[in-house]
Amino acid sequence: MSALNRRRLLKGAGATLGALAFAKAIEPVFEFTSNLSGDEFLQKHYRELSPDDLRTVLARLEAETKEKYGADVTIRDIRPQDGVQFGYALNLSTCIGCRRCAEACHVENNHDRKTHQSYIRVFEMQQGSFDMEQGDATYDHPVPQPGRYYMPVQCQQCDNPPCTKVCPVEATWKEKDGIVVVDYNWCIGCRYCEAACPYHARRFNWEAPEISAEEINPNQSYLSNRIRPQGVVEKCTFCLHRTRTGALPACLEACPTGARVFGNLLDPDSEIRWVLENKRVFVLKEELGARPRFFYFFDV
Amino acid sequence: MHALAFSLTALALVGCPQSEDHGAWRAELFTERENEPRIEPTFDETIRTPDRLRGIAAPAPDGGVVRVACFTCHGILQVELSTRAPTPLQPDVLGPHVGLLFDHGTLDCAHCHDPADPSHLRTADARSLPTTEALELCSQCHGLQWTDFQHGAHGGMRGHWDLNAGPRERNHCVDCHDPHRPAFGQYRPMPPPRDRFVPTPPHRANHGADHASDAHGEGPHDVQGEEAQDDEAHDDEAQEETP
Ligand code: HEC
Ligand code: HEC
Ligand code: HEC
Ligand code: HEC
Repeated sequence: MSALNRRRLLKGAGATLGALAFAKAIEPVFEFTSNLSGDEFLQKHYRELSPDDLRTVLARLEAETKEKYGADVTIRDIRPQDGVQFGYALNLSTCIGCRRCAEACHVENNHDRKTHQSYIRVFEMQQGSFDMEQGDATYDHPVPQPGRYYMPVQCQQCDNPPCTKVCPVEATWKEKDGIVVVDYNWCIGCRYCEAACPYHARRFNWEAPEISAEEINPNQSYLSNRIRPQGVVEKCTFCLHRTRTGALPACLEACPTGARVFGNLLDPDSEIRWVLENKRVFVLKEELGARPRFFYFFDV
Repeated sequence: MHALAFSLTALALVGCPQSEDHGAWRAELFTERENEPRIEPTFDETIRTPDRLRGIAAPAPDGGVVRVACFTCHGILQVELSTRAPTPLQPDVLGPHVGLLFDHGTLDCAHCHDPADPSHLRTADARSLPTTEALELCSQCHGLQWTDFQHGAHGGMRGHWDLNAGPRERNHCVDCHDPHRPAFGQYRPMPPPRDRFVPTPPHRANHGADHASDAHGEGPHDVQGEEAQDDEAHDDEAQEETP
């Protein structure tokens, strides 16, 4: 039977954060054993894991990656920093639609090679149009083309996220630095969140990701780029395994045009603050009230 | 230039779109650290000095490429700076510089090169600069981009957003813009996603034609292509500039 069905059976049965007496009662089982699937079954929600539990879980996931993918990886649990609220801005006048950002995301986040998955979709837009639903994400010709502009769209890390509210098992939530995350071991794959996201920013893992050992990025974290199990919904986390340690997201570093600006909204000297205060920024689908943390702007 | 052409329309359409609600929320986000003392960051932000500013590429005996400093030749040569210019043209520059193309507004060579020593730059206020100081030159005429650049909103970066956690490296203008033909070139995009649910737009049919014809691109320049070879730090092996 597929992992999907097991998940549904065990975790979908009205499980909520509070209703974990069962898991609590059998706590000693959280010893590291080689019985991987059994452990996974009984794992608690990320936010209820004690530091010891967590160490066990991370070790188990590392061992599992070794077993299934043949790769030695380090999976860390990286928490939000105090005094940091992340924000992202993108200059649509400079973006040329080359998809280097989407590619960098693909590599950084250990996406499935076969489907060429990425958390970023770049829409080729008609000048004058702002409706991303009219954009084309599958273009394949030299860019930029005259009469077009390019709009990369990824998770907007909304402050009023429609996606987290619809999750029946609280497997997705907003962290205090603004990043919306998923507990990939808790997600039951119902895809409500995917449907609720107005920005089409969530992805469903139809199949177990295919990726060769040499291509795996070994610098991983539990809530972001570790290889996700089949049958769960996944999303951009602003590369929290990088950004929570002070580094820039992979998509920003990969941009050959310098269109992307990232930083701490609480720091008055940050680049992102300068952009918000000096450019006429806008957000996508503002009328929906989701309050994105991802801003777009044009020169001038 | 494509972007600028429509940015005005864009603004007209978007106006200043923040509703009060959105504005208030954003203001809220900012208040927290406003009055804290500012600490000097531990790490530096540095601007790259691309190799091309240090000399010209010449074939090395071992088959590789060496950089010959401008001074090596210009220290002994007495060279006259051309007075010809405007756009677009191929100035018949001689010596090792044969083949140089020029398309930069209506500038003359002397807007940037020191006529007394062409291997040096000359600022608008007639100071002579080594080529490695080109940033100062560009910024004199491109105030908008220079301001954006200084605030991290033009030109890109690598490393750390948090300079207390690690350093940051900035690109130089000439990493992306050839001083003689500064327009940013065309790129071949990386392959599109192949997952099941990529939305396909209604007007998709119109694009069929583009598809077939430009398998090898039709870009006007190969500006970035040259630089990619010069500067490994630019980190774009994957970049395939269209010829
Ligand atoms: C290998 C020797 C050599 C090196 C290295 C060299 N040059 Fe030259 N350069 C020449 C020669 C020879 C000419 C004169 C060609 C002519 O007579 O028109 C020249 C001409 C020029 C001119 C004038 C072109 C014109 O027709 O107006 C400029 C400007 C110039 N060089 C700049 C530079 C700069 C900047 C560098 C370093 C990045 C450099 N050169 C490095 C040999 C060199
Ligand atoms: C916008 C400023 C600017 C203008 C205008 C300009 N140059 Fe340059 N030039 C530079 C800079 C900066 C360099 C430094 C090396 C580099 O980046 O190629 C340079 C380098 C050179 C070089 C040596 C390097 C190479 O690419 O071979 C030559 C030769 C040269 N310029 C010739 C000319 C001639 C001839 C003209 C007029 C048709 C001209 N330049 C106009 C800025 C300028
Ligand atoms: C003496 C003034 C002057 C200097 C110095 C100068 N520029 Fe320019 N630049 C211009 C003018 C004028 C234009 C044309 C603007 C237009 O067409 O509207 C231009 C255009 C450009 C463009 C747009 C080109 C296009 O076709 O889209 C870029 C990019 C650019 N410059 C970069 C640079 C860089 C990089 C430097 C430094 C090496 C530099 N400029 C130095 C005056 C200058
Ligand atoms: C990371 C690459 C990068 C760097 C570094 C960079 N630019 Fe640009 N610049 C771009 C791109 C991309 C565009 C937009 C090109 C387009 O419109 O197609 C642009 C546009 C411009 C324009 C033209 C804007 C217009 O009116 O179309 C100017 C002028 C310019 N840059 C100057 C500079 C100067 C000066 C610097 C250094 C302080 C610099 N750039 C550094 C990538 C870069």
